[in-house]
Amino acid sequence: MSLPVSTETDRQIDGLLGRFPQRGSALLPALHLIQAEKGHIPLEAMDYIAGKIGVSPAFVAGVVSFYTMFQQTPIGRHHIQVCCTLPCALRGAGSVMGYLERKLGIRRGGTTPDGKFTLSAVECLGACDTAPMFQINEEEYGQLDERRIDAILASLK
Amino acid sequence: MPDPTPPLPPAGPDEVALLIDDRPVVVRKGTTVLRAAEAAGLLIPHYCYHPGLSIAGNCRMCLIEIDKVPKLQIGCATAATQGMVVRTATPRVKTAREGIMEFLLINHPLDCPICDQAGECRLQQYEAAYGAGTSRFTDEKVHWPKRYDIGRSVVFDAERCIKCTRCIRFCDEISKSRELALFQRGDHAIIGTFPGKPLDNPYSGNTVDVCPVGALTWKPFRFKARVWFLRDVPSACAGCARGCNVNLGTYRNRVHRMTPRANLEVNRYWMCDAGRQSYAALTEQPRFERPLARPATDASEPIPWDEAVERAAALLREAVAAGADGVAAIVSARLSLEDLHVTQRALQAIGIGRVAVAPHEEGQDDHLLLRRDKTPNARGAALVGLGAPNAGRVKEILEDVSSGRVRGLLVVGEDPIGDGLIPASDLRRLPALVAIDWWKSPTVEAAGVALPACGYGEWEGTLVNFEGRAQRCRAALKPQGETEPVWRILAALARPFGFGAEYASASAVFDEAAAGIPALAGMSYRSLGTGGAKLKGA
Ligand code: SF4
Ligand code: SF4
Ligand code: FES
Repeated sequence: MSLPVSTETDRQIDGLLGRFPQRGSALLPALHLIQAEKGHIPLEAMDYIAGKIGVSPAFVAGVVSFYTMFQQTPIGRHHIQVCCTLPCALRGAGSVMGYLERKLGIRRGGTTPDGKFTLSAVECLGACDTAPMFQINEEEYGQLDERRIDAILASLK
Repeated sequence: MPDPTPPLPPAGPDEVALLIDDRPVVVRKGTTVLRAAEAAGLLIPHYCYHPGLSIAGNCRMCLIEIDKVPKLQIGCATAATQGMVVRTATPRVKTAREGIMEFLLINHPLDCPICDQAGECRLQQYEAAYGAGTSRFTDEKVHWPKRYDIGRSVVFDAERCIKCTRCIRFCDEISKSRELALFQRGDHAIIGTFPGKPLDNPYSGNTVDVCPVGALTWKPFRFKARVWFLRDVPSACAGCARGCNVNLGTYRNRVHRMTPRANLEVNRYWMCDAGRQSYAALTEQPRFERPLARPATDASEPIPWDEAVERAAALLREAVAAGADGVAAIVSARLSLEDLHVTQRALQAIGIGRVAVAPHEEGQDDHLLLRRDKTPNARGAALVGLGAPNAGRVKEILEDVSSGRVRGLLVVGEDPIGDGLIPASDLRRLPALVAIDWWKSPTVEAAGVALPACGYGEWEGTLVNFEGRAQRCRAALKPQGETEPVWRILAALARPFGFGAEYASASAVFDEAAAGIPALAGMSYRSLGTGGAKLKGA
């Protein structure tokens, strides 16, 4: 049976397993590795990691569903997460979101047909001082306005 | 001012003494406050704690106050310590419980009128006993799937679930099948399974038992009966050699469900799904209610008992007269000890020396309860002197039937035709075939005379499990039609052969058997109680 992850990820996960006194502790970092490779965590990968760590597939799926940052279905290459919590909302998160929806031609929660962008509304990302802000994959971008949004999106491949 | 609290009793080296609501208790070190309170006769209300599962401490219903500890503590996970002073009903505790109840019920659909759990639901019991009785929540409740087939035999209603995780822990720790998990979080949290891996293990019904509310229901029992009408009759399961202790939930002369009855020595708190549904055979299989006789060529027809017994005795007498080698008996190890004891004596009186007890084996002994031996009373058959189940002996007898060497056969509770051990035509040819069973088996239909017996749930008697524990099955139902217990049928059948013993009840048979069998010495039917008793030397 072929592995649901690359041999490189598999090897990295093996390395993780030895680092924790309880194997179960390796689950979260392992899930991050899988998501880094695949962009999301497919069911087969949950099954695979469950077997590797010695927990049930149901438990892994439960953990994945607990954290909204783990994706259960494929998403765009660039995940735009717009903070919609109070400080950002007061500083114009609503129009940031509206602009993005118009510009990308998708609703929040959606993915562009070319698979480039996924747009999400999220709660506070801890960068209220730069409100309104969003995060794309691991990067934060603050003090957003339409011009800056255009420039940021244009810089992404 | 003198100390108003009562003095602590002395505690041994492995024990601690504490006060719970001013009651002095001594328990082993490491005992939780909840268990210590139980020992003192006090109930600390709880949802997630279950004596057969690990401690989760998530429902917070068991909050109690401990002197010198600033915050309320959960009784299920707090160890009792020497000199601890616990209070379970202070205003703070009461307020906390009211709060917990209000939270648990905030999104609850309050659909008790259509809920199978109603009447044995912890939410109902505790709301009545500890709740504030009202809710301050005026918004629309959150809705969730209500009829979700979470497994082969279990239906999940997510709106009623309180996320106590008992069901998950059962699957992780007891059945070890690990199908269930908690998904999402906060008020989105929901019990679920991995896609394509539903709740489907040989013990799945226990999740329904441990679920303290109506979130998990047992499909075959859904909407069948209100539980307060059911009379729980304590019995033992006859599905395999374990003999799990059970309750037969009975209403209007019908068993509606079978649930495990705790016995730490036998099945702890559990039973298997096959056993749980075993009562259904009584209504699903064609019942045999009146004695039948088959004149040489015709199909069998009902006849009165007296005549049936006379004809059966006459058939056997002729066969015995033609030579003792020419008669044999095949006896079931699914019969009670009482049945088997009288069978053994009756066979002697009739003059049938060749006897085989039929084995029924399937699968393997598993890690929990299920036994490969599907007969519940193989030990009993050996005890009364009929011998242990022996496939070879059954085979020999049937071969001799086919070859014509055996001309008379008494079959008690077995169905060699249905089990594929012999062609129906061979048995039909027998000059003397007498069959005794509770259902209209192919063997019953082939018999010259067939006598109808009580089925499981109808008879009283004792089973001896594979560990040598004698356990009582109690009758939950009135016998259908004209059926009789096997021991009474055999006594009647042997009477024309000079068998003199008369028994008023199964208990009289047991006491007679006990007097003659060393392993049962000193036991009486009554002394078996509801938990059974181990044989001498077992
Ligand atoms: S389904 Fe029942 S046992 Fe399982 S978590 Fe919900 S309330 Fe508890
Ligand atoms: S394990 Fe055996 S005795 Fe127990 S419930 Fe199942 S069939 Fe009945
Ligand atoms: S019983 Fe103690 S927290 Fe649930």
